[in-house]
Amino acid sequence: MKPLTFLALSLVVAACESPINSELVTSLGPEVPGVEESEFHRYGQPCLACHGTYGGEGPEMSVAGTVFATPNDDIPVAGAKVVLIDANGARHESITNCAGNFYVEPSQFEPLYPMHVEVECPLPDGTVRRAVMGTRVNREGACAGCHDKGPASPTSPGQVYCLESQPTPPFAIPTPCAGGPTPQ
Amino acid sequence: MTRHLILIFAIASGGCLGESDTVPLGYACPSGENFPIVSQVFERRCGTLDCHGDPGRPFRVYGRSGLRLRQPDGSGPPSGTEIGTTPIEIDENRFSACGLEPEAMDAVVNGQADPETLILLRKPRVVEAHKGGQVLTVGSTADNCILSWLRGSVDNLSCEAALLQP
Ligand code: HEC
Ligand code: HEC
Repeated sequence: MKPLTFLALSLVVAACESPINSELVTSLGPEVPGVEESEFHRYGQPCLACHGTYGGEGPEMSVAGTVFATPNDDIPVAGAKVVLIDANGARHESITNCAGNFYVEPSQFEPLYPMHVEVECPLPDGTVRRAVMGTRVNREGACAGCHDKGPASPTSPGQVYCLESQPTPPFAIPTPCAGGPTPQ
Repeated sequence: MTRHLILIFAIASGGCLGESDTVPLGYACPSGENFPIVSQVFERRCGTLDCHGDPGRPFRVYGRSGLRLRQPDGSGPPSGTEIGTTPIEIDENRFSACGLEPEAMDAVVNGQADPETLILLRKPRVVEAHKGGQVLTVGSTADNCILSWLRGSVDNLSCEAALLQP
């Protein structure tokens, strides 16, 4: 490699790599065997750690996340409508896939923060529950940047969920889904 | 469990009430008396988990829908639940605001400096570079609320109006 090219490359790399971000990426671990790098992979994880401005993996995302059934289970919800409304009132809607994941590319929607978030969940009995987040998002495009997997803790409200507890009839794991959990 | 937690916090915070505003800090800090509603404005504007509710950032803000104050063992009330911001968290938010620039804050409280020189206002007004962008506009209800507290007399109407904004 020519020295100048090398210099240019290292400058680009230095500009994009954030030590905090690469620590986060490492902590997320490897891919689950058998799940391809696709819209179904890594449900519940902060997608933008890899697909954000600093992540460098394609496709680049402005907002992304995963919707679960309740705070205490590992059941992704398919078909949930995630409604994003930015500071200008611009609105974007996405539907979660069978791994509970959704993602938005900057070309589709690049919110002006603060952003308001709502989720319309299809419940097992055929009705829909609208969950409105009271907090506004000020910078973080990954839902899991705040919503850690699992129940609430002092540092996180816990995973995004549709209902406080399982209804009757209960939520079930969407099948077949290449990226979701695989119960034995 | 929830009731016990609240009880514990009420007892623990009892010890802080009524103490002089300068004793725990060693420098003057605007009064805590009417601070709870100002704390709410800080919590809503600055304290989300992606901003000053991130434990890695300076000017830490605790609150019901952000970061919760933890015991040394990591336990504490969960974020985003029905357990409101506790009196200790509110105190911590005030100390955090004053601890940014203790000497300058001391001068403001003693009438020797203008509150608008504090980075507590200069950053959110982007008079000085701020990673979180512009959060306060001069003359807005939230700005008036915080400024009134710094001037020694909380403007409750502005604070309430600021909290009603989306
Ligand atoms: C730890 C890093 C990491 C995380 C976290 C991550 N991804 Fe990926 N993702 C990748 C990599 C690497 C690829 C492959 C990129 C390539 O082939 O260029 C990929 C590819 C993709 C693709 C593209 C598939 C294609 O056919 O082009 C989509 C869509 C995707 N991920 C969605 C998501 C969603 C949604 C999330 C969050 C739930 C997520 N990813 C979380 C690393 C990650
Ligand atoms: C800045 C941190 C943050 C980000 C980013 C964030 N949330 Fe939240 N969310 C919270 C907090 C805190 C709560 C709990 C208190 C509340 O409702 O405001 C919450 C609550 C919720 C609720 C529950 C509402 C209810 O009461 O039923 C839903 C649904 C939700 N968030 C969805 C999302 C989705 C989807 C995303 C990604 C687009 C997202 N959130 C991103 C912090 C965040």
